[in-house]
Amino acid sequence: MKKFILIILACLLFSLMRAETPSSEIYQDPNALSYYKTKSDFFKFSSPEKIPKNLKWVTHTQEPTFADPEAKRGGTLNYFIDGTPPVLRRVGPNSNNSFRGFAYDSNDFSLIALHPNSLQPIPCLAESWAISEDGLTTYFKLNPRVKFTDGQPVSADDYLYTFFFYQSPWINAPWYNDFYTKEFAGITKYDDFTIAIHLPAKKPDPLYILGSIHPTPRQFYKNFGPDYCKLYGDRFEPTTGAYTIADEDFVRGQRITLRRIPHWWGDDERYTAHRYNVDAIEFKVIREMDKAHQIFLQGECDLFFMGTPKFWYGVNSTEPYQAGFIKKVRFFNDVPRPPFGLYINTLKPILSDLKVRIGLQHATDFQRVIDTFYRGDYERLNQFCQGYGEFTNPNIKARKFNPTLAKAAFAQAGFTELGSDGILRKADGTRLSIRLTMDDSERRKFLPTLIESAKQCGLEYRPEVLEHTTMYRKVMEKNHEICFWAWGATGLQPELWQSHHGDNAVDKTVDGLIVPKRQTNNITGTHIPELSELIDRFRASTDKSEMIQLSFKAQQLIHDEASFIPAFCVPSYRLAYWNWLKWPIHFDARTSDDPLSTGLFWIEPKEKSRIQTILKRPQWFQSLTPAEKLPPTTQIYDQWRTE
Amino acid sequence: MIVLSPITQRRLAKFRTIKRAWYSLIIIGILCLFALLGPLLVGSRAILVKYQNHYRFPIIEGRISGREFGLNQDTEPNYRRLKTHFHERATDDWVVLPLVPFSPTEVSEVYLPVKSKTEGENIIYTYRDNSTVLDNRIFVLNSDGTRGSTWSVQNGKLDGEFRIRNQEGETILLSKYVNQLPIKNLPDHSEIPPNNLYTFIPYPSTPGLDGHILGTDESGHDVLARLFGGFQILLIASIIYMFASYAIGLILGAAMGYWAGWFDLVMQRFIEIWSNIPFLYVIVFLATLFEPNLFILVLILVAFSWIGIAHQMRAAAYREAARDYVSAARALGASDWRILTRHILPNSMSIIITMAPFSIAAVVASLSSLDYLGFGLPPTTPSWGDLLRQGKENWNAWWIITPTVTCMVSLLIMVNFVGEGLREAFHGKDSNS
Repeated sequence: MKKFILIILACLLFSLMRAETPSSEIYQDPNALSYYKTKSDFFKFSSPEKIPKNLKWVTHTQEPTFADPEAKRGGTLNYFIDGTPPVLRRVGPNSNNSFRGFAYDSNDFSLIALHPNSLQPIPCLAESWAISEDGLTTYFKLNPRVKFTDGQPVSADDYLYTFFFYQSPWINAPWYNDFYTKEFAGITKYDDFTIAIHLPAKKPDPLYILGSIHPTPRQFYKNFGPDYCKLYGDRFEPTTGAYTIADEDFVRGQRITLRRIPHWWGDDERYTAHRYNVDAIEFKVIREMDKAHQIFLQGECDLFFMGTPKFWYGVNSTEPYQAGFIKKVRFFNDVPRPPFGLYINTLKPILSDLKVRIGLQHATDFQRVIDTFYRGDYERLNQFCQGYGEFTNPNIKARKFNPTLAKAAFAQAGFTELGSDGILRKADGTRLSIRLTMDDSERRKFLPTLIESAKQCGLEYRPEVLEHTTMYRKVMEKNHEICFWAWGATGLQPELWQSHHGDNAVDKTVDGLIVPKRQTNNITGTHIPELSELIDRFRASTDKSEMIQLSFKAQQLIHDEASFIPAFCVPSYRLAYWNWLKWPIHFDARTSDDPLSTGLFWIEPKEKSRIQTILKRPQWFQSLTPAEKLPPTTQIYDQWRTE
Repeated sequence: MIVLSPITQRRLAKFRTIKRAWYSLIIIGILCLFALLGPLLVGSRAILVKYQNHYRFPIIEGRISGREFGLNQDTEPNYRRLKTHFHERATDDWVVLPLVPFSPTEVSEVYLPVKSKTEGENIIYTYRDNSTVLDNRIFVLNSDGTRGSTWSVQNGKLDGEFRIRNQEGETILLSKYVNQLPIKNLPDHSEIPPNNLYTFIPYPSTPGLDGHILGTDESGHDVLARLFGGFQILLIASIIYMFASYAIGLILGAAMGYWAGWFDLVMQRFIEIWSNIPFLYVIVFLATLFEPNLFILVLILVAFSWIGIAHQMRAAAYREAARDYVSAARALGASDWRILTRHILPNSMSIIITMAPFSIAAVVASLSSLDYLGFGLPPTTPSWGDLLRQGKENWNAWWIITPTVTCMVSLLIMVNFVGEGLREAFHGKDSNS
C-alpha cells in the first residue's frame, strides 16, 4: 500500500514537474542557440526587471465578440480540393500551393489579431501589448495557456525560433529569408512569457507588422537541418490553430483530413470561443469543378464556393434548391480590393504619351466585360487603392468607355488617320497597335470582348496569352507593353512605394541613359518626382489625418498619370450550402473572404439527418410534403457593402 | 498539261472504284471550296448593301463608315443591326448578309425581351415561351446597346439588388428588393417600365437564339462561325505542313539512301537522338518562350515529323539506287541531282502520295490537341481544339462539344478513307509497281 501511494505521489510530482518545467528547458536546438550568439544584436536576452516601467499595457478586450454562442460543436464538414498539395511543409519550394491556406494561413494565429469587424487590434497569442515611446519596439505578454496542436506549450523561445527558422538558408525560401531579416531589427526575450520585437525604422502601423508574428514549434523541428525540405516535406507543422493533420490523414491523390484537437486553448478565450466548430474537415480530391458541383448537389459536399457564374446561376433550377435544402448566399465584405486591371508600361514608345494612355482608358470597355462575362455581378474598380476606408479617395472614378473621347485623345497624340483595317495611324504610318499580355487563367476568355470594343475606337490590342510564370517573368523584366495584372491587397493603408515610387521605376546608367529597373513591382514605370515625394512623406508620417491627405493626393496623381486602367473588383463572395450548416445572424465577419478561415458556422445534426433521410427516398422531390419543403432562398448580406 | 503515265492512270482509276475513298475526297474537296469562299459564307460584313440607290460591297470594299449608311457613327456598322434598322424604317434599302452573319472573332451578346405577368399577388417575369426568369437580371436596353436601370430577378420575382441609372448611365440609386418590396423609398422616375425590358443570355448561349444556329461559346463567339474559322486555319496549317515536312523529309531521305556511307550513318544517329525528344514537352517548353502563332506551331510540328517521311524515302532510295536504270543513267553521265530528281523521286512517288492524307490527319489532330491543352493559338484565333476544351469544361453546353466532335471525327475519318484508298490503289496486288 505504501508503495502504491509512493508511486502515485511520484506520478503526481512528475506531472507537476512537467507542468512547472520552464519551457526553455523542454528543448533547445543547439544550432539555434549558437545562431543567437552569433547574431547577438538581433536576438537579445534580458530579464523581466529591464522591461521599461512607464509602458502603457493594452489588452483591448472591450470589442464585441463576433462568434455565435449558440454554435454547436461536432460533425464533419465535407469539402473538396482539386488535388493533394505537392508538399505539406509550411515553407520552401512548392509550399505556396492552394492547400496552404487551409492548413496554415487560416489555421494559425499570431501575437495580435485584428477584430474582423472593427479592425481594432485584439488579444490573441499575446494577452497584452505595449508600444515603446519611439514607436520602434512593441512588448508582448504572451498568453501562457496557448499550446501548439501537438500539445507543446508556446513560450517566448518559439518566437525567437521563428526568426531563426525563417532566416535560415535551410528552408530554401529567399523571400522569407529577406523579410525576416530586413523588416525586423531584433527580438528580445525577457522571460518565458514576455518578449519585445523591434523595427529597424518607423512604420505607420507597427502593431500590424509586429503583431503578425507567429511562433514556430522548436520541439517539432528537432531534426531541422540542410535536408529540411525533404525531411519535413510531408509533415504538418503544429500550429496554434484548432486543427491538426495526422500523417495518416494525408493520403496523396485521395484526401486530407483536418481534425480538431480535443482541448483547444482557444475555446476558453474571448475572441476564439464558439469558432471552428466542426470536429473534422475532410477534403476529398475531386479534380474537376463540374464534377465537384455535381457532388455538392448530391449532398456529399456541404458547401460550394460559387465565384464562377455558371455554378451560381445553375443552382436555381435544381431540385435541392427548389426544396429549400440548398441555400445560396452572397456576402458583401469590406476588404482592400486587389487592383485588377491593365498596367501600362509607360517606358514603351507609344505608351509614354499621356494622351495615348488617356485614349486607352476610354477605349477599354471593362463595363461590357462586367455586364456580360461576369453577368453584372462585379463592380467597376474605380482606382488603384480601393477598399481602404478613409484612405481611399472617393472622388476618383474610373474613366468610362467612350469611342468619341478615346478617338479625340488619340488624335491629340497624333493618331489622326484611319487605316483601311479600321486602326488609327500617325502621319508617319505608326499604327495604334499594342500588345496586351495576359496569363492563361479563366479570365483570358474575356479578352475577345476587350479587343472588339477597342477596335471600335481605332485601337488594336494584340493578345498574348502566356502561362502564368512566363508572364510573371516577362512583366518583372519590364518587357510588357500592357498586361492584365493584380496585386494582392492587404493592410490597413494603401502601400504605393513598391508599385509607384520612382526608385523602383528606372535606373540611370553611367552614361546618363534612363533604363527600366528590372525585378521591381513598379510595372508601369511611373516615375513622377512629386508622387515619389508624397509616398516618402506618407511612409514617414504617423499622423493619420496627414496620411489621409497625402494618400488622397497620391491617388489623384496616379489617376492623372493614367497608367493603370481599373478593371473590376469582386465586392462579395458567394456560396451555396446545405441547410444543415448554420451561420451567425450576420453570416460572416466584415473582412472575411473565406468562411472557412473565420470558422463561425456549425453543423446542425438534426437537420442533417432529416434532409438525408428525405434524399434517400426514391423520387424524393416529387414526394415532398409541403411541411418538409422550405422556401427557396438566395440571401444577400450587404451590411458591409461599400461599392 | 500534265501527262499522266499509264500506270498512274490505272491507279487513279482504281482509286475511283473504291467508293468510300472517292466520295470522301469529293466531300473534302467541296469543304475546301467552301473554306476558300470565306467571308461570302461566314462573316459579319454584308455581301451587298443597297442604300439610297447606291450599291456597296462591304466584303470587298472592307471597312465602311457608319455615316455612309446614314448612321450616327464613324465606326463600322453592325450589318445585322443595319438590316433590322432598314427593315424597321420600311425604306427600299436592303442588306444581303452572308449565310452565317457572324465573324469567327466577333463577340455578340444575346438579349431577349422579358414580359411580366400577374400571378395572384405576384408579378412574374418571363422570357421566350413563357419560361420564368429563374436567376438573372432584367434591364432597360438603350438604343446604343448599353444597359439602363437593372433589376435582379430570383425565381421570376423581383428579389435582390437593383440599380437605377440616369440618362448618362450613372448609377443614381443602388438598393435591393426583399419580399418583392424595395427597402428604400424610390424616386419617381424609377418605376419599372412594362416594355423594353431585356435579359442577357450568358455565354455560352443555347442554339437558335438571335440567329446563332449552333449557339455561342464561352467568350460569346458564334460556334458555327468558329467551326468554319477553325477549319480554314486547319487547311492553311495542313498545306504549310505538307510542303515543309515533305521538302525536308524527301530531300534528306533521298540523300541518305542514295549516298549512303558516312552521311547516312551520321544522319541516322542524329534521327535516333532527335526522335527521342518528347515532342509535346518541347512544345510546352517553347510555348513558355515564344508567343505561339500558327506559323511557329506548324514549324515545330514539321521539325518532328519529317523523320517518318525521311525513313520511308531512304528505304525507297536505297532500293532504287541499286537498280539497273540508275546505273545506266550514271554511266550516261547524269549528275547526282538529275538522278535523284528525275529517276529516284518519281519512282518513289507512291510513298509520297499514300502517306500524305495520313500526315494531314496527324496535323489536324496535333494542332487541335495543342489548342486543347492550351499551348496552341492565341485566344482570338478560332480553333477546333479550343472548342473541344470548352466543351469539356462546359459539358452542359452540348452545342459546343457535339458539333465539334462530329466535325473532327468525320474529317479525320474521311481523310483516312482517302489515305487508305490511295494506298490500296498504289500498292494493291494488281498494280505493277
